[in-house]
Amino acid sequence: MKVPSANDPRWAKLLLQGGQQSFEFLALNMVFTRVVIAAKRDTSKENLSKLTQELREVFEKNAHNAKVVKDLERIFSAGGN
Amino acid sequence: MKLISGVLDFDHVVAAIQKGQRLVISADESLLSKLPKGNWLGGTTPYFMAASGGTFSKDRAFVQELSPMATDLRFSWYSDATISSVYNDASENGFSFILIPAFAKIHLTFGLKAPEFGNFGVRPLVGWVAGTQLENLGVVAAKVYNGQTLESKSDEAIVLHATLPESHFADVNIVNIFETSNSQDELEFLTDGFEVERVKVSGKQRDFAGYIAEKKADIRWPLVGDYGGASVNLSFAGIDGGKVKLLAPVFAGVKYRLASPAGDYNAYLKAFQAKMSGFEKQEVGFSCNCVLNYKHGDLHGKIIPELHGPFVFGEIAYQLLNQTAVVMTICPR
Repeated sequence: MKVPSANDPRWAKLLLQGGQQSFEFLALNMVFTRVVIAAKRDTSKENLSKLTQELREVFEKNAHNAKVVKDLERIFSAGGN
Repeated sequence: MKLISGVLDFDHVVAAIQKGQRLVISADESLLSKLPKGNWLGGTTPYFMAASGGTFSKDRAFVQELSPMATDLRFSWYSDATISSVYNDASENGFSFILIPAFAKIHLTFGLKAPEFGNFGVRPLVGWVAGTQLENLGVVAAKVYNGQTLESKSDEAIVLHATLPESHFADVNIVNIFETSNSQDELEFLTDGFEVERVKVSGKQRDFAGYIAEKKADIRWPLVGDYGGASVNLSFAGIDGGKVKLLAPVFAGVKYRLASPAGDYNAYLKAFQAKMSGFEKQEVGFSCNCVLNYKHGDLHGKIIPELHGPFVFGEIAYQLLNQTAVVMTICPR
């Protein structure tokens, strides 16, 4: 599965709906927790865009890792988000 | 070819260096300071989990040899002012290994700020915080070494950046034996930091030291941060007046709980064995465990078969954490 583009609205939804996600890939848990907290503090479009870039990059640059592939599919497959 | 991963005496460490092997060496300062130049980096700790069991030794070292797949090795010192580029400087595909002296300013800066540094979570970073014999902590300075130049420092971190072939990647894992219970209060902190005075307990603010006293909490066991699918431990360093001191920072907004008691050695052994299953079939590129697991789990002379490496004073798996084992594996794509 391809990592959704940075302007896909599902990223903002993911950031704003909070920290109920559990990832297999360790770094995703760390980055996701931090960006969700940062999104709560500042919900401006600019900030959400910056945080989306950060989160998206972790998915994209680790897409060779089977754990990340699973996390990506779970989050973005139909019904996942 | 089997890579070195175990306890060696001084002569065998020297022989491995002189053969040109690329090594991460954990030992007391008295041993590290006598080693010859070579492709090694080192940090002070006299505690190891050897094949023969938990060991305290000032005249032997725990030596881990780098995978032959690791190439383009770059050794770099990082100061408090330059540590923010540690992930940016890493290879696009590889791993970086960091050793930080305990209680140096860079230890605090890295602990607090690493998650905000560029390329955090993108490029794998593992390593540990160097220390000393537990009785001498804070009295004798921890040191880290660049074996290529034989420089040692107590105020900077030494980092080894390595590249892996496109066919492989480094995967960083943590092994956390501590559990929390939903019956424990949910704790939040108002600011990021290694020292805490105020806490929100289930949304209500109060003093953290008073809370710990009231709960009769055993501070041998850590605070556990809820990072979704990962639990990140922070150890208590002590309580001084109204200040609760920690060995890794809390972050405002993250939810924490006090860990349930871990029990004795048998409980540690069972927990580690359960959580280490799956690693035996992989190429373990590096592992370490926390010196507080050695101390509180009474691991001296006791064997944890699956998990060999130094016992250290803070573990690094992307970010600083405590009372956890870190395992990096080299995986095919």
